[in-house]
Amino acid sequence: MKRYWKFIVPAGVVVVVIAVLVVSLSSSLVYFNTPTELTEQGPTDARLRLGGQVVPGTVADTTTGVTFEVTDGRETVDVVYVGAPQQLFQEGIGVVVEGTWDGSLFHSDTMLVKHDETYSTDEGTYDPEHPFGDGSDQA
Amino acid sequence: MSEWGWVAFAYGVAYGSLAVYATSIAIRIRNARKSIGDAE
Amino acid sequence: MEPQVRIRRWPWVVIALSLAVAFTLSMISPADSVQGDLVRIMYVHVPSAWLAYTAFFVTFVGSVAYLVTKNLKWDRIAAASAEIGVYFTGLALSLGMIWAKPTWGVWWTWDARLTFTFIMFFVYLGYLALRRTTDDPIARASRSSVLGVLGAIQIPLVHFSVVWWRTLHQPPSLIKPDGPAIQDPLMLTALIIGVIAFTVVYVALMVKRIELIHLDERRLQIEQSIERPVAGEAVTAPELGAT
Repeated sequence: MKRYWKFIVPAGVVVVVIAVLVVSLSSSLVYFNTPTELTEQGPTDARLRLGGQVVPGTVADTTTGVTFEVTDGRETVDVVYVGAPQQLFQEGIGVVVEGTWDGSLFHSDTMLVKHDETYSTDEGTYDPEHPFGDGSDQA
Repeated sequence: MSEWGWVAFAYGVAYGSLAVYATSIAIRIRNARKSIGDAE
Repeated sequence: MEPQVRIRRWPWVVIALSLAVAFTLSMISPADSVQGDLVRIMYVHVPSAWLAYTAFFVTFVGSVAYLVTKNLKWDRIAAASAEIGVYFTGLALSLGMIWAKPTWGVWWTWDARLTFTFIMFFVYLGYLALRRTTDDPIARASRSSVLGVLGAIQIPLVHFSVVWWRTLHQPPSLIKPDGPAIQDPLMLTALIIGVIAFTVVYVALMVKRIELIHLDERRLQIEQSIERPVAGEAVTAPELGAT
């Protein structure tokens, strides 16, 4: 009997801990909301994160920061960002911005650049003749 | 910091810590051999 | 007496050689179109993370094999692999932070991948601590192999966290259903050779770490055989007289 307890007690503890973690954190494990989710849910007071791609051609400098549109392919949200944009911030790149959503504008003061899993070289600069890359950035 | 600066930082951490870890194993082996009277 | 512990020197040579090859390739591979030279950090970060998984998986296999066979040989493998796995987890976390600061803009954030890796690091530190609670090899092996089995639940949790939840961390680049998301052949080579080289380093470190375990066991054996008469000091040995 003693040998079983050696298994059951720690196994039980681990299972409970993982269950509690996953259930209680399940919503906060989702790191950001998409433009579609924000559009559907409407304005909230809570501070949240919005993630998506910067729509090319929408980036405009303001006196306090920069404005741009973020899309997930279905919906687009206008973002007003106050502060200096991240070093890698550019049109077409993935971003996660933190702030508040008033139903029409997303006011943000914190920006993270989300790098995707694709990697490629600048065609012409590094290896013009490599057979697989088309040199385009899929970010 | 420049891009190469970050790269140097990362590689310093990676290769430096590997060297330290490998050395720690080597030293622990040497000490253990000494204490059991196993000649080097 | 047990046979002498064999001391091998080739692991040190193998470690130096494979790291030299991996280092050269990561330096001559091209810069990425978005992150520039920062991409080179991937060639050490990804192999470290891969070895964290592999090492803890070996700990899992060793733990299961010990529980089934009760052969301490498996416990030694599990123990050696856990220590090396903790090292590589720590390395992957550190390198990830060094990469994250210039790309994401922050050193750390609590997304699912980072959070679960953080927890895994401490669970296996706990495994190493648990092993130090006793010198009795049997008790130590059976306690730690339970944790070695349970801890392995985290390996898929960490790996698939980027698929199961929306994370800031990108999903895997190398192992994808429709092939690697890395277009440049030299980049791909640098990454794959990096993974292979680090795996070879892992094997070499395992050989040395297991040698150390054997030596430590011998040391303990000798210490105990010296201490044993002291335990019986209260009892006076019968005098047999001079021969």
